[in-house]
Amino acid sequence: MKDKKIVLIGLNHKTAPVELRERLATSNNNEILGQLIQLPPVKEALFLSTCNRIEIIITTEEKHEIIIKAIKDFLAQYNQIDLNEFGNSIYTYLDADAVKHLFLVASSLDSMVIGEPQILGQIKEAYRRSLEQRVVGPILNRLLHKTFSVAKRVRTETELAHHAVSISYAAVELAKKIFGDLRGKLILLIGAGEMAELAVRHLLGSGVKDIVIANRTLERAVELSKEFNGRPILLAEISDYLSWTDIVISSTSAPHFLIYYDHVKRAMRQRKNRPIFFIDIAVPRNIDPKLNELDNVYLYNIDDLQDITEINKHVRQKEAQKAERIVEEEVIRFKWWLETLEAVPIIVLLKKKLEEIRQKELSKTLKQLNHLSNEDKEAIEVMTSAIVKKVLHDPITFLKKREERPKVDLYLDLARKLFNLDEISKEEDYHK
Amino acid sequence: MDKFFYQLALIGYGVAMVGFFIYLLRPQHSVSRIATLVLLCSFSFHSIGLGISWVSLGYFPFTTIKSSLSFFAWLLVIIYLIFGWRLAVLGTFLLPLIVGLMLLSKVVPAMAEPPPLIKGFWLNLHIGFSLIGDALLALAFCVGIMYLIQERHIKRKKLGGLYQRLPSLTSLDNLNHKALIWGFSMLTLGLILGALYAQWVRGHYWAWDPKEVWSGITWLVYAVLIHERLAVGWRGRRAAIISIIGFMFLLFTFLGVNYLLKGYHVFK
Repeated sequence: MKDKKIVLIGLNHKTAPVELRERLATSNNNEILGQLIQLPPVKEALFLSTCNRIEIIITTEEKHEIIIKAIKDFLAQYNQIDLNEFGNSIYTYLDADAVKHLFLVASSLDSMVIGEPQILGQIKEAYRRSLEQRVVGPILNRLLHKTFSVAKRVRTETELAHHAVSISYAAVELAKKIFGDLRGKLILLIGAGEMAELAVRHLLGSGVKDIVIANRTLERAVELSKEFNGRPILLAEISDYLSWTDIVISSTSAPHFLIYYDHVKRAMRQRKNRPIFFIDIAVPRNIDPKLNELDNVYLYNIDDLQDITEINKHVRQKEAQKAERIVEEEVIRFKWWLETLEAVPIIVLLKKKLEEIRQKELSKTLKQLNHLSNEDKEAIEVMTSAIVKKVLHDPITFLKKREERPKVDLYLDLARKLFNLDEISKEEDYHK
Repeated sequence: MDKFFYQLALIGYGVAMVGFFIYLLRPQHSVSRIATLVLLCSFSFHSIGLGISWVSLGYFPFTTIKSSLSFFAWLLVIIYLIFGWRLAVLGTFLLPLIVGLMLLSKVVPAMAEPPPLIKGFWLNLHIGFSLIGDALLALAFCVGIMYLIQERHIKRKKLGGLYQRLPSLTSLDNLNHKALIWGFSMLTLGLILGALYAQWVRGHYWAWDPKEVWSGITWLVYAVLIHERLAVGWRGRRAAIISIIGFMFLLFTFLGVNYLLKGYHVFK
């Protein structure tokens, strides 16, 4: 039996521009998952797609080069993009590294804004989809549950989780210091992203009623509008709306400015200098920093907001260190579990268990049969071991027949449960 | 007797001012409440003093520079009592002005009986409306300063210091706007009444007296500001700056003209 490997393939906001992420992202996660699992070397699969990242986690028994190539080809073919276009944006991690990456992502240490809470929910959702399609086996099951508990540890043991919330809270407080009452104010949300949506939710909770949502694709704008009960517009319409809106939150990954000094200067005349508050969450910036020089225009970017939150940079770095340590610690533990899984495969465990039973029963019986000669004793010993062998023959052949086994290692799992093999492997399990 | 009450009022205003500065450092309701209470007591003393002066003089005590300074301060206290119950931090900015005016009123040498020209009902209206206008414009001045401080905090992204204490920019701007409109209206009314009174007793509306000229300039500064506010939509920083500059003109007209220039409005 070959070793099982965990392979993670993905791309995120650091490695891929938004245009690429949009082309690779899909709302049809179930379909992708269904097709992924059809790839011959894939045993278990999880597919995560958010606006900032795509992560594919699979387990396989094949060589990792083969599986990575298979998945890249699949992505290219499914999205009809040439592999050359996105090959460089993709990262791959194996085994312990893959586990670490998933832990980091789930704990929101790899997010654009560290500590934003939505990513964990998105991973849970992805896991739920995999469960529904029955494409998770013992490894991913264990991995995902571990992931959730790691994320929880990071959230409870470090201050990072408050960080994102405190940023959006700071933005709302600033808006209140500028406008006083937020009722009747109009928000313009450009682009999307966890942090922007968090800020919008906070603002909507503070009395803002109206929201206009601009996006590169109208489809996405309509989608978000449904969520926030807003009005969708196109990116090209932004400058018209500058004379109406009071709070502009921008979070696109456009490589250039979307709102320029001159746009706003013109808009200020139309809006009779009513104050306007820009929040630029995007990196690189979407809004010309020069705007802040205009009277009654207030511009804060994500760094400014981070600086004014109570959790300052120094604390943040220290907390991030602590979080990394938690992640590393859990990765080591998971690695131990993986090793026991590989070193003590199911068949060995099964043999070991029966052998133990045989030895125990044999010695119990022989103790009472002292009148037997050594030859007789040996004959009994040979017989018992023959029985065990015969009993084990069929199950072992069955378990070894890899090609007939479904992708999910259902039978392995079943065998473990049927013979209660976890009891045995526990002795060698350092974790718990 | 009236001097005794003025003295009490001045001390009380001083104590209240200290209270409002403490409030800035320790923003607790109890602090602002005590400061306001002290202010209210001092205000009563001040009012009693004014009443005694009125009775003993036989006319309302705001016809000399000394008494009008004191009356100006008294009006500012009323303004604080009107707006300050929702915006206690306003006290921190208004009270130094109040204490300053009271001190000035104390230092300025008293003048003998004013010439008979400056008595009479219409004249009282002229002075009264002008001073109410001045007081409201002083409010616009203080709020303008508060606005500039708060705006600086937000623009420079340094949210310490007064940032937490000061109210939102929009509410400061609105208060500045209201104070300007009402102050300017009162001032205009005062000027018109003055001109009519001058026509009646002196035979001409306008005599190019330095005080008249400077009042005219001050009025023009505010008129431009209000026009820009209403027609062009000047708001915020620019409006705050102009209302501060306007108040400088106003102070010069009120005080400077009397000491630096000569004219029939000079009541030294």
